[in-house]
Amino acid sequence: MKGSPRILGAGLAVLLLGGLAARLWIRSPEPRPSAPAPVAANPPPAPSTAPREPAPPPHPSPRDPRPAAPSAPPRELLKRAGDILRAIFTRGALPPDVQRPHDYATNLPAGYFQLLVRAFPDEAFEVFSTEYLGDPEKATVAYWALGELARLRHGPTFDLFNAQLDGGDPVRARQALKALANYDVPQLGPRILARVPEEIEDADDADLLRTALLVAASISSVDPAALDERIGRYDRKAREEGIPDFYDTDEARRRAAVVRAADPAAALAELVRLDTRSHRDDLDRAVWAAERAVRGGHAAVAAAVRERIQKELERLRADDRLGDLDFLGRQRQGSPDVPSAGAFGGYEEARAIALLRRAVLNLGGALSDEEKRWLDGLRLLRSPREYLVEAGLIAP
Amino acid sequence: MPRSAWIPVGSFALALLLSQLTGTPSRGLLARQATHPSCPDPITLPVCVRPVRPKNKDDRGGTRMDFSAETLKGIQDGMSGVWARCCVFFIVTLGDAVELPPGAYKKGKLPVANSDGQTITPNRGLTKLFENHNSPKCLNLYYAGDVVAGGLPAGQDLKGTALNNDNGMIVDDNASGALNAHEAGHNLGLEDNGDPSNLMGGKDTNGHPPTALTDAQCAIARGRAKRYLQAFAQ
Repeated sequence: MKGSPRILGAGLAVLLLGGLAARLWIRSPEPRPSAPAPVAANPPPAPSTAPREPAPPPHPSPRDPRPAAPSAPPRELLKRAGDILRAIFTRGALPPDVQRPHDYATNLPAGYFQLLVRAFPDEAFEVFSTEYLGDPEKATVAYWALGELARLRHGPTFDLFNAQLDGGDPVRARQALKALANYDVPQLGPRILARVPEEIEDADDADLLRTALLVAASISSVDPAALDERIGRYDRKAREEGIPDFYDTDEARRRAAVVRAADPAAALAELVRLDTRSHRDDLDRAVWAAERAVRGGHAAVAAAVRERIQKELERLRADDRLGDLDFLGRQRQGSPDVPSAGAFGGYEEARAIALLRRAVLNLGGALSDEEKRWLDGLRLLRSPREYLVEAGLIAP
Repeated sequence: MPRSAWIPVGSFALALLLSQLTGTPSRGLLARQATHPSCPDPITLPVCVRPVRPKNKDDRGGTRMDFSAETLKGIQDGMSGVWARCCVFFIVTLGDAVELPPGAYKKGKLPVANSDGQTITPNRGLTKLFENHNSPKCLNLYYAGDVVAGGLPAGQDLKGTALNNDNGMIVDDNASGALNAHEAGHNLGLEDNGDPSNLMGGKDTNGHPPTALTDAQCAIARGRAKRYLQAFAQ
């Protein structure tokens, strides 16, 4: 019986491991049914042809520190989230009970800050358009909240930015234009063209010009001839100055072509697939076109969006960067992945893939269960309120 | 001659070749590579310093540095000294100057970032600078005089910025070796990490980053550096 202790030890180890596995299995949240709000049809998931990705990020674990004060009124929650966001951004002091500040703001539209704004749009407008917008120390946070509200096409937010467009400050006008781009109302086109500066005296004028051209090109209420004249004028100016496309005229021309196309779905699909010498622009354009397709209900664009996702996954794999998709894993290891002025990009493919996958669902296309779990881990699959309840921030 | 002695010789030849290939002549400077005796597999990356100035010489803005041989060697030693921890070294040469139109500047400073909805995005002018002027044969380090970030909260200071995992960094004239090393870290695939003791996370009392790097960061950066070398050779 010389081997008995060894056998007993092995048996004990098996029991312990089995128990541990069972415990982990019990703790693991079950895959949730996909219920993104605006999804039309929900056909059976197509088999994924994507390159093998890292394991999807897990759902929030019960062991994660829960935010305080789940029963606080929405205005208090919004202010707290805004102040945390500002502290992250300025590397300022955080409230002592905030152990996972990166939950409040990531470079994805899925931090608690964005979720709270989307869940409580009227309260968010009241808080950020008054107490924050007028404070130079807090105005950036206000613009982030109001930008989120503009994406929801929130009425009072339109009125605020519509009034801001008339001021003389080019920086404020540019901020207004970016928000107003979400509202394609008949009177807007001429007002935007009127804000295209005649002379470019400094970088603020140049930024306003680029934004005005891109926004004007993206809405239908613009006089095409007037827009083309301005695009041509600044195209020539950029060439004379030695930096072709310095004023983003190429991109404006591409977007205008889509808005004017007889077959918008085909034009959008072409834009989603388009590759130029700027990969960064290609990703931005693909996301813009995919989200425009969602708003226009052009379900046929879903196939092109899937192709773009596949292409970006291949690119990441070739560059040995599939790990970029693991946003939450990086955060657990200490990388905050928060908005930063100190560096740009790096996870652009991963960010674009997230937004494109959400667009596929919203276009009625299919995602694999693995892709859905990944989106869910990024809080991009279900309604903001569901995620906020799950996080313990608001009551069910 | 011991094998290790060939490394500086090879680096010298590489830099000379690069200066010919890129069309960005080194103008007589080729500082010696910094080496480290404990590096079995050193990686040496070429860096082209690109002076940025306004197109109209009468306009304010742009770099005021002279980029003498001594200055370039200082930049090289500053970056290599930090990255020696990962056995990554840099050879710094002077590339072509870049002239920017008035629409690139604001009160003599070069805006490099905008607060843009949910994220901070590079100023489009900066993006166009990288797209139109980057040399494909080296990491491009632009010296721009004063840089500024638009739309940031008051008190936010910015001495430089860079593309993550892509070629292009831009700094102001007062950039330290550690700051250049930090920006190179971004090009080499490292994100800001919030660790106050780390090259990619902290700032000292003068606003310059500390110089610590982890093994994991070294692994990422060395992998990216090797891919750069492959791309530069094409």
